[in-house]
Amino acid sequence: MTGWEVVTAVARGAVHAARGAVAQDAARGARGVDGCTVVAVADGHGHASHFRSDVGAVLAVDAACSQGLRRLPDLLRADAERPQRAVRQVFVPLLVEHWRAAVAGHLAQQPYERPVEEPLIPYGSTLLMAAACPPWLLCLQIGDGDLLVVRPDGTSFAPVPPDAALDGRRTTSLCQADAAASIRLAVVDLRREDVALALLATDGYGNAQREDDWQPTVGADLAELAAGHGRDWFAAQLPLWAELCASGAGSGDDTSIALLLHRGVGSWTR
Amino acid sequence: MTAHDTPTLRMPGGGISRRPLHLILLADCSGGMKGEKIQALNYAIADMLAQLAIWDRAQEQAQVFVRAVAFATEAVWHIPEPTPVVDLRWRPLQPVPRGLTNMGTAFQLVAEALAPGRIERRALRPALLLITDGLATDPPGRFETGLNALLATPAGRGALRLSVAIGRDARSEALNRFIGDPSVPVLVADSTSDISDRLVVASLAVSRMSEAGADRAALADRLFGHGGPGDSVFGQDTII
Repeated sequence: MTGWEVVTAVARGAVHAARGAVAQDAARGARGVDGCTVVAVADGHGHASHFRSDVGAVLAVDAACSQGLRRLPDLLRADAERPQRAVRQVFVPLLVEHWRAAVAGHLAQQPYERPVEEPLIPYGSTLLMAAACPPWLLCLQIGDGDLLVVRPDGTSFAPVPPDAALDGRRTTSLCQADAAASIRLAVVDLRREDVALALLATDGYGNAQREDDWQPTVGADLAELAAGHGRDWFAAQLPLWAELCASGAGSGDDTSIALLLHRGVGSWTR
Repeated sequence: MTAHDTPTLRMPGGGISRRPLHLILLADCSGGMKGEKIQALNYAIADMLAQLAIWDRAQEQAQVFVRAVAFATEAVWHIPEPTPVVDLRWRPLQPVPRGLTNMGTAFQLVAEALAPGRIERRALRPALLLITDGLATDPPGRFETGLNALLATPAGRGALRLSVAIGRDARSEALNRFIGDPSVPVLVADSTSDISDRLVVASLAVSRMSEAGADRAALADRLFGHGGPGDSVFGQDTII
């Protein structure tokens, strides 16, 4: 039997903990009945003007999972020749609109105590999403963070094109007016690309890595670990990795990690 | 959960570390700095680095690395390699007899050190601290060439750039151009005894404003004694 499994972990950054602030990251995974599996992480912005970004991040991963499971299987089946175009033209606007509607719903329940010029801004968040809907693996991102696809042989690649506008201090965001246009995406053909897993992480993870070009090493190590361990092992490990990266020995920032594991690669299928 | 149940950590990758915060000092070693001024400056820098080392040990998000450029007619690296502030023993600067105050060459040197690929991508934005007792004496065009080279690098352009003028006469338009923000004042040391105080202010700006979630406008107000720079200088983690 083959399929996809999800493991996620979120850890509050040491800096946030020292200030008594809540974690502004979120992670979520979900599996559909038709073989589609979705995972997402989000990083609510830390600036004071984004004072509801913790909620914005949760709404972002919820939107990714709910809309991914609901929309992607049919969408990708309907336009099997050009899945990326279908995702760009149909799914991306739906995703952004769904997040905005969720924000509006939250705002209706908890109105601002003082006037806010742009109601979406306080909820600002990044979003990284991967959806395995065989034969496609959709990878989607707005804002900073890392999305890495790892092959069974340990080689890896970043499917989503880089954004030169990200300078480490400022990021693209779901709360901006043209959010849909800032979403970067890629669709990997699983019939041509042998994929062991996908790693999604907010910038608290990458900023904790000692090596500047950490992706190849992490990819190789993950492939080896996936070959020898199953989901339960990763479920026990991921919180430890996130805690370490978020600690004072790492980035000190909120850290979310998600793995989309391809069953049939690890030893648990033997 | 018993100890037996605790999973053994096996993390992928080459390990973790705190994010680097690069501080580069650009110190005036022109002939005019001889005597009491250079002594006071050396004392003040050593004191500032000790304060930064305390901060480095106390906080949980950055590891401070220090480099220093000594400039007069020419500019040379005084501390060429990024050195952890907790390991640094300050080696006193020496004035250059009859040396001029050519800042452009110092900017050029720092621009090379901050070129893409020369500084970690995950590094916090660097801090540059220019300390001088005189007006720039660069040959025509050299100041601009050096400053333009520095600002052409993303790290140099995004750096927190501060300046300490030793003596009111040293406060010049050139220093304002180096800082690049009218809301960030030149820190003036009226006398040699003030140098240490001004460097403490600079080190507080470097350290506290690098902290995630810091209220930078409020900090700037406290440190610089006015409305302070806004998000254009100290903001972070917000949208483009």
